Amino acid sequence: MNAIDGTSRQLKDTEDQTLDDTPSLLSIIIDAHVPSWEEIKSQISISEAVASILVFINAHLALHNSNSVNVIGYNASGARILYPPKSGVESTRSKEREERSESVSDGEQAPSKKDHSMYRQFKTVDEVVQTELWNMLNHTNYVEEEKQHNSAISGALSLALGFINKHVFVDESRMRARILLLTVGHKNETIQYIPTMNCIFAAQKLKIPVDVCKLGPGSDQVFLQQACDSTHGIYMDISEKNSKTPKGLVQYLLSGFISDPSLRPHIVLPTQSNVDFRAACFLTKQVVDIGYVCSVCLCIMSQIPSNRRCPTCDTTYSEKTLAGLGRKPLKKKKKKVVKP
Amino acid sequence: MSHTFQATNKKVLGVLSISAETKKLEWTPVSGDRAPINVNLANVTNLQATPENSAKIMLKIVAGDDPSTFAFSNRGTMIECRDVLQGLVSRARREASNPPPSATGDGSSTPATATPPPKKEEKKVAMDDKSLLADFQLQQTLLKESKELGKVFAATVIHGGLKPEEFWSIRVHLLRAFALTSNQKKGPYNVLSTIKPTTGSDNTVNVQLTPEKVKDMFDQYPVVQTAYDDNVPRLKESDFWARFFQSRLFKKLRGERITHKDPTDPLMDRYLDDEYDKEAALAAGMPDKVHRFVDIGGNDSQAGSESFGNRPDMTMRAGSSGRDVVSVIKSINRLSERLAQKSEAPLAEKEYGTLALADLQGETGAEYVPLQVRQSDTNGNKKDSDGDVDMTPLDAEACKEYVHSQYDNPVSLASLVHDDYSADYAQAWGNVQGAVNQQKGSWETVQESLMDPKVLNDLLVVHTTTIEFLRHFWHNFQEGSAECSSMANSLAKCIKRIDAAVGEVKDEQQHKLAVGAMASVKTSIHHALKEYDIALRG
Amino acid sequence: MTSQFKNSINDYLEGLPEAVLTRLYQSPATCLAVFRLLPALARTLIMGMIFNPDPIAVADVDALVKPSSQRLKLETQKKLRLLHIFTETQAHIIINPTFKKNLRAALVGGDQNISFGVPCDTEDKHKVDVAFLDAHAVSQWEMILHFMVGTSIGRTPSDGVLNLLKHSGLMEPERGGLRITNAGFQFLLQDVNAQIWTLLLQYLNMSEYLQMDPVDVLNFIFMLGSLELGQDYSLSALSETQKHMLEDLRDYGIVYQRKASSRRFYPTRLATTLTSETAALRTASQSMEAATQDTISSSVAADSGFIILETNFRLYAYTESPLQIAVLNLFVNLKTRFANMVTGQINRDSVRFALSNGITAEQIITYLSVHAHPRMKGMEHVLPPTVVDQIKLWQLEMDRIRATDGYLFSEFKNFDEYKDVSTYAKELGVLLYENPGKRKFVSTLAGSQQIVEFVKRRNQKHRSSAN
Repeated sequence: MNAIDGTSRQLKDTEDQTLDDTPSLLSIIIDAHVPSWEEIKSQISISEAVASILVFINAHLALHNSNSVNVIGYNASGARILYPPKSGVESTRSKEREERSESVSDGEQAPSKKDHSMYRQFKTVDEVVQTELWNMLNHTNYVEEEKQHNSAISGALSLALGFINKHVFVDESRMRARILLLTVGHKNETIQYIPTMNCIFAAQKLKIPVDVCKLGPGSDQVFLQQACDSTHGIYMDISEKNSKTPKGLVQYLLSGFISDPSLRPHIVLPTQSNVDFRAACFLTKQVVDIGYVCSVCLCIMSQIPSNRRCPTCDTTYSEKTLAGLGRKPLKKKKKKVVKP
Repeated sequence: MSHTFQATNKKVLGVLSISAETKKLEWTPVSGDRAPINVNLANVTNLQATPENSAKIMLKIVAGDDPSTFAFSNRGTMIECRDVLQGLVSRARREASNPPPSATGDGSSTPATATPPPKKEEKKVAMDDKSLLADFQLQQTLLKESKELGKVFAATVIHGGLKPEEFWSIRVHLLRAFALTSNQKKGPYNVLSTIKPTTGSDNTVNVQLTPEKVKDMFDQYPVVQTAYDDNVPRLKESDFWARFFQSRLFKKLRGERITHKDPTDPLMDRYLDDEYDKEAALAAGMPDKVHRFVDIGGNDSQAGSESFGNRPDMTMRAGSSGRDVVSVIKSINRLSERLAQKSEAPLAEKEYGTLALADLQGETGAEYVPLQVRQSDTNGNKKDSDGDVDMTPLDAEACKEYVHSQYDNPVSLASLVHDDYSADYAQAWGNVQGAVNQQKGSWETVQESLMDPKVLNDLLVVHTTTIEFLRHFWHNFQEGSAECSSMANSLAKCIKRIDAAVGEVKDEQQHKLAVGAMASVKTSIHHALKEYDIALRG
Repeated sequence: MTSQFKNSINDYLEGLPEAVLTRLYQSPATCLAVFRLLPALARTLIMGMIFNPDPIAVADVDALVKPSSQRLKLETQKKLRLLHIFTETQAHIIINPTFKKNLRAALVGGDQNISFGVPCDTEDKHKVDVAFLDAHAVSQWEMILHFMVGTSIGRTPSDGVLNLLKHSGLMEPERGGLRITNAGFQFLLQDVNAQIWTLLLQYLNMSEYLQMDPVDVLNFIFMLGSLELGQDYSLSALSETQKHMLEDLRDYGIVYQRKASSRRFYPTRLATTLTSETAALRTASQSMEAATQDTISSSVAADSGFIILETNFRLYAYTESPLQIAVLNLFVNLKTRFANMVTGQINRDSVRFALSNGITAEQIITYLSVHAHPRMKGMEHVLPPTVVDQIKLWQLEMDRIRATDGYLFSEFKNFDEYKDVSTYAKELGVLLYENPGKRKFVSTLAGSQQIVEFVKRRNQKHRSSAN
């Protein structure tokens, strides 16, 4: 009589060959740091990249009629949600745009209302994203040099996670979420390690895959690779540094990054990450075989710090403990030379 | 508590009253002619009663010189009186010979605070390192208990040449934990709850009784002791127990409610009275009835007050029905406390306080130790081949120019379809597919390189022993002890062992896997020996 | 779209010849709609191929899918092949160029195609709003449903609709009128989206008969699915066939035209949710209620169920709609009716009545869970498992006896003969029942012939050996 059992006590078949058709929410985080784009302008122009991103967004929306998208931009001053816009913002921005478009004669933009060849849903999203993104780019605050090297990836990730949390978990809609990070990266870029790692751990816990598409020569490849690795995301470096080229971005996006979270268990991911999991000293940044570990914050050191304090958590070590670490074995009268 | 009987002495009707507290017997005539007779029960040497078949119903009490005789109207009364007297006399005599313990003995422990009884001197297992290391028996038992540990011990000490003291010196904590757990004994428990009268085949009731149980019972319930002492010289033991287990006294001590259906037993029911339960008497020092007019607190309580609708809970009812229940609960609580005190690790006052129920106090948050972590920005970055970070100045103007130019000449989506890009797209696809193939390839190699379980086992044993030796080596290295050289020798032997184990693997592919698996351990041994050499020379 | 209807549309499309499909793929809207019907792996693969100029190697696809999900890959490839989106050669897979071009156009735009409908650029003098459209859709649709159930609300659907109902087997002609069939009962229990698709598929089937180009019909249907609610569209974008269809669709309440000669039309909610999730759709009566009450916002009313089912089999339905009450009456023994509620009980008789009319237990259970009150939906089990199990058991009761036609073989001369023949029957696999004690057995009709021959051969053998 188990056949008619109304209660669903059986575990789901893990080898379920039929895919669940849940819609998914894609959070795209776009690097809007103009100097970085300027550096790679010979390889790909911003507008080309923007167009590619829009096509990708349309493709994502095409996959399922309830798919939704969230676009966030970040630069040295911070991060901002570009789509969905705050209500009220939309009308003012589009008005601005129309004014601009009237003054500049660009045949492509003006009849946007009259171009009916694109699916309406795509069109509305595209327009808002374009407006907001260009806004962000145009109104970049070019502040002092030192501060230009900060990058607000952690802020952008937090915004994305917050948005996902609200729309998927709090509102309890049946959606899967994922994050795509499109970064260009300045070579002197500095990323706040701990806040970003916290965001990665949060994404890991919520089972949100974080994909990374790297277009430029930014540093911190290792740390972004780690992010993809721990969340089972895809890492692709298509910058010239990696002997590839960001040209053809749209094809990269449509073939590498299009896969839905519900499809991912069934396919091999085209990820390029080879994370080096070896331990590294916090002081010298070299890889460490045998070293010392702080008993409070667990940071690894290859030598005893000269100021007797831990570099990360600032605890002082007592003389006695440090002296004990430096002891050597007693020399015997007869030296036994051991041949390994 | 006193018993009164109608009795006639020398043909004068009177009232015979026996007081348990004062251990006195007093006979007062109804009509005041004769003098009352007072007998101290401790002095009673002989007690006689007329036999069953005799017509007379008389009781003769010999206390000292003069015997007194009392006549009763019916046999039953006489029997009762005789029983009471017997009990009291034997008790009085006993008390006379053994002076009673000081009044502050049992009775003073009130339920609120527990005074810990003197620590029982017991053979305590020493918990310090030295004795643990010397206790071979303990070590043997632990090895037998834990198979894992036994295996490691066999591999390192028996086969590998490690000294047992070395082995245990880093595992003292395991020994200590094991010693503590194996020394735990079961504490005292309410023995009456274990005695369950079972009904036999032909309606006989059987009870299992062992001398230990009897001893426990006397320990926990002094009333039983009293009853036993009073009656057993006279009654047979089996009879006594038989009657005891059927009596209401037994039920009361177990904490069950006494219903009117239970059989009464004149002998046993005497002990039901509160005079035998000193503690209860002391605890119930409050007067029975507090006038409602005065008892403001009692009137106010929500639970007790009937104006709130439902009848109050069984434990909250005023009057005699409430008292029975409450007394039962209280006596059980007292018993539990007594047992806890008797146990071997009595609680200090502070610890006793922690036993109290605290679920109404609200949650205490977790206490975290705050770490002051310095926010250094590029922490965790491994240096690749780049040297220092160089800061090229930022050209804000160029950037603005670039953005504006881009904004004015946007790329439409449709233009992406242009043939110019085809080559790029093809290449992009190729790269993506390459990544997929690479991933798939590495995946497949993982599948193929599974080691044969037997080989794996052997290598694991060798590996564990090596790690053990490495641990000891580093321990000694840091301590600067003299053992270091022998440890260095042992490490050399380890390498030989590893090579031997790997050499034993016949199959080509497995051999390769084995070599790969042991490579990192060998590196660590080499590293250790190098450090040792440097230390020796430098 | 519920998976049932995905499947039926898929089946229909797979049945079309390649040339037709290629013509179908010339409309980006259709490409998009068909794209969304495909399984997930197919969609991912296609996306990777739209901009790629070269065909992809079969080995690439094999490498992409994990070995444990082989079955998925095979199913996907099969489906894509049947729909002529992929053509496979020895080592390569080529995507249908028309499909590729037009799907890309849907994503990228700019080629001035009109498959997504052309909104009107002139103002409508008699503009209507969304609430009106909803009300209109509901009233049209419910008219049809009421007609099927038999409640009289005064209006009858147009002849075209009646024709459709007859041809689809939902109603049958009887004594001058139409009577609902078993299939019709099942139809009533489905949700609106499924109902519309049933009718549309039927329309599609009839269209070939009526010499309407199925490509046009499908294009129009898919275009409707991509239109925006509340926007009026011009007829200039439609072909003749499609204009003709408009009249029929008007009768179903899928589109609204002020009069037959209007140059514009409005899609209703029934149209715009043709290709979307059922969750986004309100049932027809709920829309009507919401429109009349005029208070609840659309998202809230979207999932307002109205049925409460207790574990003692009692049912309380907070509805006043005669349609819903009529539907409930099919399988619930309704006892009392109040101003805003009807109550009743599900018992064996009521469920048997439904079962005898061809409704399955699954349909009843689905209907109940879809229309369950939000309070019920919040619980771990939406419907009490006891009731669900019992409905299924009542259905099983109908199958207590299963009749199979067969031949009875009896009166064997001796036990040996019986044993031989029955063993032979068993080996053939045609033995249905045997009783060795009485030396009888029953075999299937088909197998009886062979057994008779076997017996004849055996008797001959015995006779010859005896002689």
